[in-house]
Amino acid sequence: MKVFGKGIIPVIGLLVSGVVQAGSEPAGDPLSLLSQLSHAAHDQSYSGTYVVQRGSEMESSRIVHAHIHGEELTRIEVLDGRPREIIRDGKETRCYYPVQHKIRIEKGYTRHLFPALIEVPYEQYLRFYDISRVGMNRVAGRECQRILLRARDRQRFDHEFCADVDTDLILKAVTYDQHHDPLETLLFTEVSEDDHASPELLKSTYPDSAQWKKVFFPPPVADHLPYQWRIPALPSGFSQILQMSIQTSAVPGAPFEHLVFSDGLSSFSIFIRPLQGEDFHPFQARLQSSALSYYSGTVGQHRIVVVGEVPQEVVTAIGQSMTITEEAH
Amino acid sequence: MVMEDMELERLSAAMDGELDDEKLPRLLGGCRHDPALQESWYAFHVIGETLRDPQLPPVRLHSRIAQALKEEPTVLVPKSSVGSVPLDGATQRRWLAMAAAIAVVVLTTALLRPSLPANPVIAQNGQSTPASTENGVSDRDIQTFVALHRQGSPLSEFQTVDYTPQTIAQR
Repeated sequence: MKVFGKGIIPVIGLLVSGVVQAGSEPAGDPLSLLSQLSHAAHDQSYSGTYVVQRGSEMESSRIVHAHIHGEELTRIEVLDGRPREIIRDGKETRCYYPVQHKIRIEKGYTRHLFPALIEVPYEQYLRFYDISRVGMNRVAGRECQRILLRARDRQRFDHEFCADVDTDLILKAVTYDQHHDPLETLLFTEVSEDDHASPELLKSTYPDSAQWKKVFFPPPVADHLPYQWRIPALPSGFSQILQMSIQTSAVPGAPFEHLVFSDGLSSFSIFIRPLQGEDFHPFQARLQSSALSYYSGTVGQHRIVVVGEVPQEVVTAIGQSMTITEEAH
Repeated sequence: MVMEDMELERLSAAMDGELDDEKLPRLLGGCRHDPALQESWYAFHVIGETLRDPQLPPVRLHSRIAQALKEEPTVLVPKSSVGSVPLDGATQRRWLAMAAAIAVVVLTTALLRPSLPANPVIAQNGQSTPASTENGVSDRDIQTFVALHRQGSPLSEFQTVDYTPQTIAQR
């Protein structure tokens, strides 16, 4: 029995540690690796079908990506539910909503469209994620290298990519929670290289959309706001990438502020809405569903909502730490 | 049955959560263009919310409205913008009236719901707080801001799947 006393636990620990470490290896030059993943998604021509899965929810889309006359073009068509379509070229991204006869036109704003999930500067990922190769997998009938981006702190989730061993194209992307359970998964179900994609495949399927209503995104920031805010608990590595004033029928009252922060892989939004005399019952609600966490509370005469793909504790800390200073009249 | 009555009947069916999914968008579209229908819509809401027993299971209309809203891009209206089209007076008055109607509904339901949570409520994996996920106000809040976050997030909303109260409760 003494053999299994004090000594056995460290021995088991060493064995387990050895097994775990044997399954992962440093990514070599992680900057080069990230660059390869990014360039593979942007520089190559391919087409395929990918699926987004969150819990029991699933949605599939068809993507065609190519270079025509030196210009990078992408077309994504959502295959499930109501038809939606994205057309992106070097100048703008156009999102078509055929049922509503509307187009959202985005300029000067980078959307991370799968599989182009890694964007410059690559150094931003190295500061907050440990990058390693963790084995092989098979996705869409192709061998792929699993690459883990493990968060160095508890302020963000882990991510894993599986990159085609031949083309470096990301075939699968998974976001994990703190228990390493998958929160979100994007993966190709079929994909093929297509060096000679027809330009017709990259055009919108809605040529009669000239008369559709156009919504421009993002809108300019308000000239002047009568209040200022501080966010002491802003998690490191997240920087503000967008600020806009929003008015929507879903939220009655005057326009309110929408701030977006990102660390390159995840993002969260902060909404600041002045209470305008309505009988709003202050309450706090923290919910976590899939990769999204939600916090709602009030600071003085303002309602604060924080929502994003970060752990629940993070959005709560952000919301509870905020202070708002009214402009002196 | 005249057209107006049919619209009101559809409106009533929608309020009861009984309108076919394919008819709901058309009805909402009609609401956007018909001030009379808008007034009826909000009047029905005020009446329904006022009379609804908070102990009864909630009508799931809000999730269907949220679904319709999700599929419709939010109109982003900056306080000051370059190149945007200003709202005319009639449109402003119409939105003001709609906002006022919603405020009345919120005020009414808040007053009728003394049990509205004043403390933090949490729904996590395998645990859900009914008041937070099945209560109409909170669900609508969550869905609205989740949809807005998606529109602003670098990860396109097109790459995401819907969040409904049911999926929130499941997690």
